Order: sequence, then C-alpha cells, then structure tokens
Amino acid sequence: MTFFPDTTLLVPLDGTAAAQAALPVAETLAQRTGALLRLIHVGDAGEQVPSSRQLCEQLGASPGHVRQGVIDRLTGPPVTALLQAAQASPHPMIVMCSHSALLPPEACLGRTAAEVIAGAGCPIVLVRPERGSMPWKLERILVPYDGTPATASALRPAIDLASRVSAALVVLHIAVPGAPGTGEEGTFGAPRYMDQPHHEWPAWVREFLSRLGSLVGLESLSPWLQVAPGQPGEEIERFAADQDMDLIVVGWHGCLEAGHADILKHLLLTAPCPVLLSRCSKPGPAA
Amino acid sequence: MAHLPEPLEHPFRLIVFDWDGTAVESRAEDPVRLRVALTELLRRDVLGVVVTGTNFRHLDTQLAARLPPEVKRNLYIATNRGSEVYRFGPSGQPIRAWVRLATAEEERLLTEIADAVRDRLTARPGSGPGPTLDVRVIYDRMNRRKIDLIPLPAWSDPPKSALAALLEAVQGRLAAAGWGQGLAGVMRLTAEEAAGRGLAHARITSDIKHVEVGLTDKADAVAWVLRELAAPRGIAPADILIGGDEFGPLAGVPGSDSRMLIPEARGAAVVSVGPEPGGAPPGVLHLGGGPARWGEILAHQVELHTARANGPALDLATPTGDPAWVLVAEGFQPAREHEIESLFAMTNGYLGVRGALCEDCPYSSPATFIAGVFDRGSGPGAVPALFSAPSWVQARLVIEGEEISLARSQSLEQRRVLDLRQGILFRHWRVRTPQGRITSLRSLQLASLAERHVQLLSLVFTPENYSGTVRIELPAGTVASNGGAATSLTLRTGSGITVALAATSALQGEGGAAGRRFFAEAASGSRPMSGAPSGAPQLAEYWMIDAELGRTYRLDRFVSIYTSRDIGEPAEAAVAHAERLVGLIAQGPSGASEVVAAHRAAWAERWQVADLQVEGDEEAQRALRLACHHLIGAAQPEDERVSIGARALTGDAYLGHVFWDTEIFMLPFFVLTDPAAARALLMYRYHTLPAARAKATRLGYRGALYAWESADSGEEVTPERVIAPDGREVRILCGLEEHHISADVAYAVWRYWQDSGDDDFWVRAGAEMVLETARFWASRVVPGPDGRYHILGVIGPDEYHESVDDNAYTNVLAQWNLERGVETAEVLARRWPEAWREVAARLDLGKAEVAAWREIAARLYTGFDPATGLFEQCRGFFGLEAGPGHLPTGNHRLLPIAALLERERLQRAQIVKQADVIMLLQLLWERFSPEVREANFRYYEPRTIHGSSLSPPMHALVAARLGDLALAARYFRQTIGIDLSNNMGNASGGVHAAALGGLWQATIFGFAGVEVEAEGLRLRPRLPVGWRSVRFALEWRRRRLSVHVEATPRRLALELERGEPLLVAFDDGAPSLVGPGRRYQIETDAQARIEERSAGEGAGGRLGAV
Repeated sequence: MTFFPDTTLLVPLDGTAAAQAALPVAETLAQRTGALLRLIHVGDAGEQVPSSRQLCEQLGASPGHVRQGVIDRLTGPPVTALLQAAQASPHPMIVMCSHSALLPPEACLGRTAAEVIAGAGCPIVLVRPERGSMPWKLERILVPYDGTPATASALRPAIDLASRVSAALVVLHIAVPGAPGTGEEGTFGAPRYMDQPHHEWPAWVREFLSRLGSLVGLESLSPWLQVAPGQPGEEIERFAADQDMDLIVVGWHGCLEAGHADILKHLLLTAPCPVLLSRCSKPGPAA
Repeated sequence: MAHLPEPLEHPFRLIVFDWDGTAVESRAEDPVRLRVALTELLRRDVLGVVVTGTNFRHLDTQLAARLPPEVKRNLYIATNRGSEVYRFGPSGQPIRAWVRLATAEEERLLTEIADAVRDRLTARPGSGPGPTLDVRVIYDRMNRRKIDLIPLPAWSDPPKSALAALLEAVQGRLAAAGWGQGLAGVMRLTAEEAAGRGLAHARITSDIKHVEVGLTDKADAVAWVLRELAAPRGIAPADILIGGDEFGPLAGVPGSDSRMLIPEARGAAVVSVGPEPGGAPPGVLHLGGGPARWGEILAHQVELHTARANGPALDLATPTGDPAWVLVAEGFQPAREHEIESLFAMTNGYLGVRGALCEDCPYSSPATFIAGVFDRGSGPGAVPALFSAPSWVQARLVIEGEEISLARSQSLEQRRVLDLRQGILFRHWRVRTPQGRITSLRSLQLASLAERHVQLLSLVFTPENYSGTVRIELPAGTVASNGGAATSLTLRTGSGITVALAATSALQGEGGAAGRRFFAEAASGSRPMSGAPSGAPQLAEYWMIDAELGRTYRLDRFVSIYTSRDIGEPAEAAVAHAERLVGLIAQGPSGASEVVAAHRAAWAERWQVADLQVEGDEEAQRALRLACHHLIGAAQPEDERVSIGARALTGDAYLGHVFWDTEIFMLPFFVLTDPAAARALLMYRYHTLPAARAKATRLGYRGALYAWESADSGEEVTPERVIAPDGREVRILCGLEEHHISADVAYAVWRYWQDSGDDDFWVRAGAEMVLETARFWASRVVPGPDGRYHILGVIGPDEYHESVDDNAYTNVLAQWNLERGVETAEVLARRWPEAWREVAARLDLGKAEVAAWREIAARLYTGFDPATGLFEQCRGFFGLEAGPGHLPTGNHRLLPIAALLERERLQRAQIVKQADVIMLLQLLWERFSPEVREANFRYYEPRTIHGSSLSPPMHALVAARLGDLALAARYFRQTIGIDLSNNMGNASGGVHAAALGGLWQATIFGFAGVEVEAEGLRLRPRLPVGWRSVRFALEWRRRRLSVHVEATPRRLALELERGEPLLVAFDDGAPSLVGPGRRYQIETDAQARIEERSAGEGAGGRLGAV
C-alpha cells in the first residue's frame, strides 16, 4: 500500500459515540496525507433516506469532514457493504473503531471490526472508543518488528506514511529470552552472541536496519531502532505509552483464532494509541 | 578428494552400480552425498542403474523417493537379483519396465531344491556324532529361494563391514556340523540339486549368510541394461562404468558383483570399492574405500560432466562435484546477502574480498580488506579500523541498452557455490531482461593463494535468444600515461599508508577475440560502480561486443593490490603485476588458466595437511571444511607483522582488531597444520612487544601487557564507550582490565615452541615474550594479609564480571606464565648461554628477579578449594545470587544484550558469559585431576549462557574430553550454527574466526582425542554418535602424521608421512614408536585381540604394523 494521491480513507459510522472515535484519526490522516475521506453509513434498504446534512448530524460528523471528502449511505449487511466499498476504491484504508458495545471477556474486538479485519485485504486503522473525540496528531509512528522477512512485508504502510507526513519512525525489536527461532530464512533477531558489545551492538543495529531496508525499502527515512527484552505485547504497550507514540503499525497474518496473533490481541486491548493493521505476505522461497 | 586413477577421468554416460556395500553402508543410512552427486549426474543425462538383490521398496525408500522427480527419467533400478527393472514416469512415479516371471513349475522346482539342500545340511554327513546344523529356507522371494546358513538373532542383518566376521562364523558352523568344504561345498551341493531336478540354468549365488538358488542374477540385469538402454542410445562399453564391492572370491565363492561382468560389457570400466580380501579379478580396478569412495567417484563424474558441458575452452574452472566440498546459495534472499558475502569471501591472508555480486546490487556491501592496513578513526574516542578498499572484481553487463541487474531483470536461475577445495567462488545466473533477452552467465572469483596480491574475476556469458551489442562496464581509475593495459587507483589511508589497485582485462569469444576496449566517463545517468573512485568525472572501462546468439564470451579481469607496507612504489608494482597477468592471455588462450592452476595447486597443497574428513556426518564435514577454508585464507606465513582479526578478512565487524582469539582459538590449527603461519602470527606479537611494554608502564607495571584489542602497532585500541540499546552510554573496561591476554600470548608461544621444535623462533623471539609477560605478572600481583599473592581488579574471560579480584583463569595462567618464565631462563642459560646473556642484559633481568617469579608463582592465590575440587571463578563468586534459576535448561534463557542492558544484575549473579574456568581446564588439562575437571565442568557449564561465540566450541571440546559425547555433540552443533545458521545473521560482519578455530579444536582435541605430550602424541578418540570415522593429518616437530580414527570397531590407523619416527600412544597404553613407510593399526573394541596384542602393556592397545 502506498499513499497515492487517490488513497481513500473509508470510515464506517453508525451514529454511536464509539464509532465517532475514528473521526479525529481519519480527519488527521486525510489532512496530512491528502487522502480522500469517505464517511460511510450502512442503512436498511427500506428506510427513508436522509439528506446528507441530516446524515452528517446523525453520524456525529461535521460539515468540515465532508469538505475533506464525501459521505455515503450504503445498504445491505454492514460488513459486506464496507468491504465492497473498499474493494471498489483504488487505494483503500479503513479507519474504524475497534468496538462499540462492551466487549465480552476474552474478546479484543467488536464483532463488526473482527469481521472487517478478517475480510479486508487493505490496511485498517483501529481506534479504541475510549479515545473519544480528542484531536489526534501523527508525529511518531511505532513499528514493532520481529526481524522476519514476512513481517517486514507488512511494514510498507508505515514507511509510506512516515515518508508522506515526515513523522518519526521508531522500529522496536523485542528480544524474547528463550524464544525459539521462527525458522524463517533471512530472519534477523536479537543477537545470539555478543562477544564484545562495543563492537557487536553498533554492527547489529546497522545490519538490522540494513536488512529491513533491503526487504521493505526505507528510502530516505532514518528510523530510530530500539531494542527491549521482555514479552512483546507488554513491552510494545509500555514503550508506546512511555514514548508518546501516535500510531502503532502491526503486521499480522490474518488469523485471530485462539493461539494466533497474541501480540495483536494484546495491543488491541491495551495500546495507548490507534493501531494500524497490515497483512504480512507468506514467507516463501528465496527468489 | 583422493586422487582417482586415470580410467576414472572419463565422463561415463551410463553408470551401473551395486547398492549395499557399494553405495551405502546400511539400509538405515541416508546417503546424502551420493544422492546429491547422482542427482547432478542424472540431470546431465547420465543414465544411472542400481543393480541390487533386494526389492524395490528398499531402494525407493533409501534413494528414489528422495530424488527430484524431474531427474528420475534417467534412473533405473534393477531389483530382486535381475528379476525386474523399474524406470520412472514424468512425475517421478515408478513403472516396472521389465520382469521375469517364474512359471508354476519353476516355482515348485526352486522350493524343492532349497528344501533338499536344507535337508542335506541338517542331516549330518556320515551320521557321525556332533551338532546338527540349523538352516532355514526363505521362500517369499521373487524367482528365488534363500537358504539361511546362520539364522541367529546376532546375524539377522549383518552389515557389510562385518563380512569377515560373518564368514568366520558361517564357516565355523558348517565345519562344526561336519561340512568341511564350507560355503563353497554348499554352493556345489545346491548346483547339484538344481541340475538333478532339471533346472540346469539355475543361478546359485551367496552373500555369505545365505546361499540362493534362483532364475536370475545380476548378469540378467546388466544384459537388460546393455540391450535396452545402451544399445538404442549408442552407448559403447567404453562409456559405461560398473561399480561394486564384491567382485573377487570369498571363501572360494565368486563375489556377487562378479555376475555383472558379462561378456557384452567387456570394455567397460569396472571398479570395486569393497575390501576384496580374496583379491579382485583381472580387469577390475580395486580402489577400496567403501561407499565413501563410491561417492567420491560419482562426485568426480559430476565435475567431469560439468567441465564437458561448459566447454573447457572458455571456463577456467568448474565447481567441485562433491557436496562436502561446497557451500551453495540457491536463489537470492536480500536479507541474507551480507552474511552470504562474508561466508563466500575470498581471502588469502594478504587480502580479502567480500563475496558480493559482481554487478554491484543495492543489497551488497562489496569491499576489499588488506591485512595490516588500518585507517585512523576520526572524532572523539575513535580507534583504528581495518581499511576498506573498493572491490574491483566487478563487472556490469548492458545489453542493447538494458542493464542486467537483480532489480530490473528476472532471474531464471541463480546459484552461487563457494568451492572450498579450490578456493573459488562460482556463480551461475540465467537472467531475462525486461525486453526478454536471456543471458547465461557463469563467473568465478578468486583471491590467489599462489600470488597473494592478485584477484581474478572471470565472467563467461552466452546470449541465449538474441544477438546484439553487449557493453561490459568495469570500475576504472587512472589510465596509465604510457599507454599500458592497466588502469590504477591509488588511495591513502588516514594512517598514511598508500594502497594501490591496478586492473587489466581481456575478452575472448569462442573462435577468437571479439570486442573493443576503451575508457570513458561513465554513461550519463548510469549508476556509478561502487568500486569507482569518488569525485567527478567517473571513469569507467568498457568492452563493447557484437555478441551473437549462442556464442560464448569470456572476460577476465585481473586486479593486483600493493601497499606502501609492502613496497616503496606500490602503484608501479600493482600496474606491473596486472600487466604481466594480462600479458599471459596475449600469449595464448591458456594464459589465464595458469593463474587459476597455480591458485588451485596452492590450495591443494594446503589441503594436504589441513583437510579433515568426517564420515557419517555431512553437516559436520562441510562445517569443518568451511572452518579450515577460512582459517587457511586468514593467515599469511610471509608477513610477520600482521595477525588475524576477529572476523579475519571477511568483514569489517570488530574493525579488524586482534584479540586473544588468535592465540587461544585459532593458533592450534596453524601450529599443527601450517607451522610457518603460526610462527608469523606469533612474530606479530613479538614485533608489538614495545607497545605491550608501553601499556604495562602506563598502567604502573613492568614487563609486557599486551593490548586487549590490537591493530597495526600493538597499542591498545579497545573503544572506551558504547551506546547501549536503551541509549545509555556504557563504559568499556576490557582495555584496562582484561590482562589475561598477556598469559594467553605466552601460552601460545610456549605451545608453538613445544609442538614445532622451532628453536630459532624460541631463541630469537619466543623466550623474550615469555620472560616479559612473566615479569608483568610479577609486577601485577599484590601480597595479601593471608600470605598469598593476589591479582586485583581484572576481567576474566567471563566479561559479565568486571573489576573482580583473583579471577581463577587469570591467576592460574599467570602462575603458569611465571613458572614458564623461570623455566625459560633456565633453558636459555643451559642450552643457549650466549642468547641468555644477551637477553638478560638487554632486559636487565637477573637471577634474583627470576627467583622471585618462582616464589610468587608458588604463593599465588588460585581460588582452588581442595575440599570441593572447585575453582572459584573470582573472589566472592560463590556468594553471588544463584543464576541457575534463570537457566532451567542450562543456558539460552538470557539474552546476550543483557551485557549492555543489565550489567549490574549480571555482576551480582552467578551467570557466566563464556567458558572461563572451563577454558582453564582445557588449556592446562594435565595440571588437574580427572575429579577436578569433572567437578568444575559440571559446576560452571549450567551457569554459562554462551553470550560469546567462543563459548560453545570450548564446551564441546571439554565435554568430549570428559566423555560426555551427547553434550559435546550439542555444543558442536551450536558452534556450527554460529556462522552457518540461515536465520541468525551472525556472519553479516564477517565469519567468526575464533569459533571456526574452536570447531577444529573440538574435533581434533575433543573427538579425535589428540593430546600432545612431552615426547610424542597420545590419542584418546571418542567419536560422537553418527560419526563413522575421522581422518586428518598433523604437523608435529617437523613430522607429518596421518591419522584415521574409526568408531566401530574402535580402531586407529597411523602413517608417518614425513620426518623421524615418533612415539604415539593410544588411550592409556604405553607409547609405541611409529616409523615412516608403514601403516600402523590398532583395535581396542575386540577385547580378545587387545589382550593378545597388548600383553604386559597396560589397559590400552599396542600399535601393530600392518
């Protein structure tokens, strides 16, 4: 995904305050990137169609939002309608709240958001409803990166976004004691050996960023690399809070079932800022 | 690979071979090496036929199912002793191509014959007294019946290696039962029974355990092969190779493979790799060596076919076919490129070129390093770093305006091969440009081991589907004003050294020269070559060719490098050398071949001693060859003012700095395989003695304190600070406190003198280093209130504990150093009194000072507790927080970056970075009792997290010496993974030279159990599970000894290849004198035989000449 001039930010709204939490994020993204803002409401086919102004008021959007884009009323099953709209857009990105009602125990997303992220191939920014209507800034983007080529493939949106808005890009590698290797060829994790740290640490940092650059292309960006030991979910959450991050970009493989995407699930519940989900490509044989 | 006889220097088109004993040792084996070679042969349209007595399922499991489907079209498997032949369909599925089906009458007759033979055998001849024979008939075999002469559980599936014992057992059984004619008699009896029942053409065979009567044998299989495969393809017998292991008679019975020698096959090359105790028949080339030798033969066939396919007229060399000699990178993985460049670096001790792609892709870090050439760093705290010169072994192809590059073109095939045996990096790349032009490129790169100033890039390319203008662009410097052929580039390092590169090139096409060469400014808009000089204008060297479809062209690029360290006018020397090389080509097409031939010969000579052959473990074999390859390429016997940096000349990590890695981890390899190189490395320490003295003086001591990190001058160059992952600045104390380096150097000096017998070195340089380091320790100790001497405020090998007192490793080695100082003074005074007077005067060293060393050594605190047998790693270590709570499996739980993030925590805990006390055990093994070694290893091993790559190999070594082979094997694998694991990226900044040296040590001193004693060598071999044997050579006091250790039976073979007789002992046995010209062998597992041979000789076996 690249922030082309015709990138479309699709923002599903249902009139609830929770859904409106996505608006400040989408608004800032549109302003900073020049993307088209498309507010979407999905209604019943049989109900009376309100005017656009009425729809704006119902959904909690302001006329200013519409000046940056459009407001659309779609019909049909909400998730299907949203995904079809995304598919029909040239370079879509969905910005939505993670849930509206109280989450049941064990859940990290509302049902609608879960269905959307399962079905969408485009990047999705999830905003927790507790954010409310506070203005949002985009100056510091956090990219947790485990060193695998597969995860690197999902980081393109972060690179594009940071380039386009001149945000600081912080790459965070969590070194997990005792973790088994992924086995993926080309993976570059925390150093297994560090004979003389004053030599190996700077060399490792250079190689880590060089590999990331060769996999995803860092262009003119000079990311700031941080390494922390611990459990990834907790450490990312802690780091994002401590360092006042505005957005966390997370690569994922598209499966939220039990035993999968534990880090993502943790962040969806605890991240202090919106989370941008981007799909990893499957690891494959070397070209 | 051993030299193969001339008849095998032919690329055969059809290869027929037996399976059990020829291709594999056992049915359980995965014959990786054979499989790889056979795959390559089948891919090259060589027909492969396995002829075996067993059924198809066995061969399918062990071989066919593991081959790529696309190559199996050329594979045939003749099973059931010539009764059927299988071929393979397009998707690799087996298809029975031919079968001999017995009639019902034939089946009945076979059973009758077998039963009759059994009945006659079980009825004792002459009805005399004695045991009767238990014989079983096996009926469920295709077209045959097997009569089992020894149906005992112990002999249910005897391996080929037990053939002699099996024969002895069978003949013994037959004799005991009154069948004095033995196996041959049973064969005759079976033939009689067959003839008597009208089955006159029955095939009677034996594998010793069984006598078989059948309708077919291997002759039928070979006849089918000649009739159905060879004849239709016009393959003459001269193009056929037949391999087996049993051609000659055994106990009067013809060998089973002799059946393959049918008259129609006359003219084929026939090879036996079996032991052939009865001798091979005339016309059979008996090589022996078993499946390993057959694997070599097939691998050599791959080379021959590759050379033929490539057209020897243009390719200067082809990769070795034996997979145990090559490291292969298939395809391209951008993330791994830096580590591949390190692993595939071409080094020769003088220079090192990273194995970067020659067209300079964006993922590459091409560079040339020159031993001993450092650049001064700039900025506060900067230290000297190995100078990085551009790589000039680069070439870029542009076809009709389209540049061939990884980024813009489509790779159809890409394969890089580091040929360890030849010291050559090969690459094959088939590539399609966006407009569809397909080019096949083959390249080789080398850094000549014969002429160390020379590099070569040879690029062979063929337009596959086009004709057009091809431009080859090469980095260039200044064109010589005299109109000569070379272009040169002169650089100057920050430390004032001049580095000159000069290059020449030549192009030839099939049938003659075919291009124009010129220099010009690089094309506008094109990427500058990374090897081009900086600053405008960018000059490039071009070759323009009107390339024709299907025609092959070769560009040779010679680069020579000289520096002002070598010669007064390096630029002139470099240009002259490069022009001389390109002049060779002008003299004839074979000119460049001379450069390659000399390089290959130099590597072959080096491998004569350095090769280490492991049977039974392909991974270990390749890793050990890689280790030896990079160690060979790291040292230069001719230059005694350079040493080996932590990553040798393969990368810029560690800035090229020299550590104790060289003396403790790498040097043993050189001492015992290339003493001249070892001497040069130690002379580097001698030449840096002034700096070591200066450091000692600066810190308030006397004598010589070597730099923890050393560069060109020997001054301390350890960086003083590093920025930690969390942004904090961390102070580095190694340069101030890691003083064991001085004892390490002294230890290496002493060992070299002892093992080489190089008295000239000892008198001229070695003794002085031992004296000066001893003097340092005498000044470094302080007396304590306990009446002992102590060494305070040091860092031992375990660098997690800084500023500690009485580090055991440091103290015990200091003690040893002081003792050797005393011994040195005594030996010099006694044997070389003049030299002693000179050095004593120069160092102002008197008897009183030497006497004080003895006193200090005797009273030096070591931290040893006689009650527990433990050394305390440093004062207070036993009182630190328990570390093992973090280390439930012994290690791996902590992260090495904790060294930066959690220094205080580590300092407080019993968590050890790397072998420290365990390292001490290894170095001074004979100083400690077996109980002390065991106790300390078991205490410290679980507390060690191996944050250093130096740690696993030492643990492998010590665990092996203690007999814990499972643990040793685990650490050995971990060591292999340091550079070769494909998902760790450790090697990006260069290979871990010390770990490579450690891998070699773990094999030689650990598994092979070599111990150097005062007057000879002792071997206590203990091979890990899976290793069938290990073979190596050692240089020791001007002798060369070849050693072959076998696991089962535990056997040792020795041959003194050069030098005076020497004493060698096995296990705890008494030493025996091994003389030249004979082969010595000893077995120890066969207890009866040991006792017979070793009466009165203690527990070990005695060597017997054979």
